[in-house]
Amino acid sequence: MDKALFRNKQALIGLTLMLLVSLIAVLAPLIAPHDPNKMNALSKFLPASREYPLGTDHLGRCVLSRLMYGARYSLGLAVPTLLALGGIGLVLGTTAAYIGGRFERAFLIVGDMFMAFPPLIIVLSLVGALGQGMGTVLAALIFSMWIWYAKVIRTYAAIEKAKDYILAAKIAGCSGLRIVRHHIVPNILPQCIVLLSTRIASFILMVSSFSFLGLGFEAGTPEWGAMLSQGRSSFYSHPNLVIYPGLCILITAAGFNLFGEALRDVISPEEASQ
Amino acid sequence: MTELLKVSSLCVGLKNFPIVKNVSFAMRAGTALAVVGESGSGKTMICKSIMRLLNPQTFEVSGSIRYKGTELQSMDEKGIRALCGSKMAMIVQNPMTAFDPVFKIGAQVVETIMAHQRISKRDAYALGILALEKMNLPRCEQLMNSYPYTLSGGMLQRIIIALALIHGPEMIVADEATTALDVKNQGLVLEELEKMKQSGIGLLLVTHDFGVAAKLADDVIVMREGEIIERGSVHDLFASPKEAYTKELLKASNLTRGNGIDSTKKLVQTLYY
Amino acid sequence: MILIMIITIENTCKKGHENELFTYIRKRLIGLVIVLFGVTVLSFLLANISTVDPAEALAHRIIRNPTAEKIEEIRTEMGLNLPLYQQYIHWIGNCLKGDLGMSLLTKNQVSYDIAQKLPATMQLVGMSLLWIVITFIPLSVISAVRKNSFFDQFVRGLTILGISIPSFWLGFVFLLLFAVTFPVFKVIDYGNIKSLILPSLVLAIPTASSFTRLFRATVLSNLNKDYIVYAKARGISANRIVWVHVLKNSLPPIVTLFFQHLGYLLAGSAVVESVFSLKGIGLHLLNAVQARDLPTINGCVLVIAIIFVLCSMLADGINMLLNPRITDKGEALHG
Repeated sequence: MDKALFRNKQALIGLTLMLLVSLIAVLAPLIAPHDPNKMNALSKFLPASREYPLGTDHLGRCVLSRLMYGARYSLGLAVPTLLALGGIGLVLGTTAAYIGGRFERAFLIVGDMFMAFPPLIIVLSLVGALGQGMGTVLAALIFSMWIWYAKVIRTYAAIEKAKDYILAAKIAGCSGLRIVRHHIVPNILPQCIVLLSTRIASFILMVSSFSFLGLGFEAGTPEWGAMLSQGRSSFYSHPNLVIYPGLCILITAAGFNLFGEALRDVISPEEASQ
Repeated sequence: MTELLKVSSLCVGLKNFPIVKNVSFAMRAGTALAVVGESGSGKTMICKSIMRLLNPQTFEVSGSIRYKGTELQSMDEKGIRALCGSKMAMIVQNPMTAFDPVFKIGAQVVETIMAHQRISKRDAYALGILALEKMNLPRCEQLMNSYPYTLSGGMLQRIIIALALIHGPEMIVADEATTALDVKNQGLVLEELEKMKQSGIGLLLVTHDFGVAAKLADDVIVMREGEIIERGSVHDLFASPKEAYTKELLKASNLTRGNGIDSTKKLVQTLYY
Repeated sequence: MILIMIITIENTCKKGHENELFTYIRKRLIGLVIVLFGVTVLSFLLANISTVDPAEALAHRIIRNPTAEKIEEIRTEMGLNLPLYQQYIHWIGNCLKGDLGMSLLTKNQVSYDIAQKLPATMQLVGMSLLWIVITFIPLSVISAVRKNSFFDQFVRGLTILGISIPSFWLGFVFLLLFAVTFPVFKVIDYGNIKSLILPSLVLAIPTASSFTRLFRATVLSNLNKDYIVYAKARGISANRIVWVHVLKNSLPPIVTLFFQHLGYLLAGSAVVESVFSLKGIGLHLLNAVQARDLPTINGCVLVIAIIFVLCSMLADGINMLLNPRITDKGEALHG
């Protein structure tokens, strides 16, 4: 399986991009040429030079450094949140699938209610109610998206539950919890991993669009979406300040998408688009 | 009797994996040729390549398939589709999955008719009902108005046969036509095939069931792993099979109920004499 | 209104006793009512977890220096001293009458504001939907039929790009290219169809790309089905097979997704409206959030959620028409 993954051109490109961005995120404090928050009123809007490889923004801050630190924010937010969502979804989804019956039906109906609210709406609503802050945004994201993951995982678990070996385990006297933990979960784990890996990119896009709208991060944070939003005011004179952050988002998302898709093709070819 | 079908050196395979290896045979009008063999012997591939049903991106087909002298392999797509369903018709193995589940039977019958003649929808519909009635199908109006999933396998297979007969075919390819049916419907289908043969249609019967071959066929080809290992008239083959494999197949088949070859001889004798 | 629908259907059911279609519709309608009820409850809860005291907020807006008594007065007037469930009933009653409260920002009725802004967003979303439908169906079908051809690979590459692009960035890029560098469009435009072209494209591209990928997969899986093989054997032309049979079989799952995406498009419109300065409900909601205008926020959230649920219902309905099996064997092919 690994060989297939590494031979796939798409996977390799995606993997390279992913690793590149992750490395930059991790090593940013070491490799960034300047302090991303250091303002210098005298160096506003400088063009690319040796000292400032991508120039400076409207407050004299080094664009390249800010972009590098931005990677930390994008990945640092997306990955843990996604894992949390995956975890919640796994627990709730498998439980709903295993218990079945009325519980499952109630679960689905409640799910429909939650799914009526697009994530942005929930975020806007909660931010409006509780005020700004990353905590609010995260809570809103988890509130609106848990159900989507739980539903999909529930489908996987339901399919798995119908298989014969589960019946055999039941006959052998396995308790429900044990069946779920030792049999169902390990067998749907690959599909769950694929599910998460294909969603990271859209998560990164979502988070950056929230910060673009001014929700979540305080002004001045070197996060890509926020940087883009700040660059708006000088867009027509200095479009680079908008172009660069967006390009970073694009490259990161594309990397994760490419890799996620390739992973899916390898792990669950029935779902693959090939 | 005219020679309807002449297959020469037909090879079918996946990229590096041959499935049908250098097969040649001929079939005459008014006769039935049975292609017998286990699953995987390549017999279905032969049917599908005759009617060009294989995906050219996946399968490689080489060799010659001549229908009344015309080379089918070099025909364009339009030409082949014009033949399929009119002069050459197919009866498929699984009638339950043969029809598009989201369209009513009537719509699919009408589209088949309209694919082969310039005719209005209304006239095509009437023709369709006539064809179904000819097969002694009950409540044809209601049938035409039903979705495929509401009908039984036997009924669907008879509709397929009706469709095959509409345009006066000269050749019919029956790919395991009775395999998915219960005994009663098997009998009905075999009856229809017999009638077809008698009216001068050439039958290419692909089957793993020697009983079908014994009842209908005039000539038999035995296939194994993509190659023809024995061929002959049905009487000769059953009475005195030459190859060990053929003998094995006969021994194991339902026909003999596992009682060995001698009972086959007796059975053939009772059938033919 | 929905109750009336249910009652009429009940009556028709008694006449057409054996008609399974109506039973199915009735079941779904009841489900719809339950979900709508749940949505309103959730909306109400969301509206009420605010740390901001609505009475105080309103008081500060209408009176210069409200005293504590004045605030209490307003609080009682607004019914905020009643238990929660009574507040909910009161609120729901108002909503059904069309009264969603008064905006703190514009001083208009929230429902009036929404009615003013919603059409613009609907136009934007509508045009996006048009772009999406025009592009994804032909692109994915041709891609699937000519699998692995240059066209197919090109489309696949394009769609990966499409789902990785941040829509706000794309908006700016388009503005730069088509309004500044090649002045085809005006930078800030409003009110005519031309002004909607760029924003609707921006809104459409990510969804169109995603749909193209999904639909291509569905079409591919249907191309090898038995009934396609038999259709070829019957002599049906390749064109008809693809554009009639395969298409109709492949559409149901994407239709459901399509209408569900309507909700996401509605939400995504906020970003696009922000970039292109369009006066739609998305931008209105954004401004309300900045200004902590709770009545507006809650009103918009409720309206958007309800639109979304109705769209899901529409999706189910269309699904039903396309695939007759769903009505008879409800669970087998659904959910």
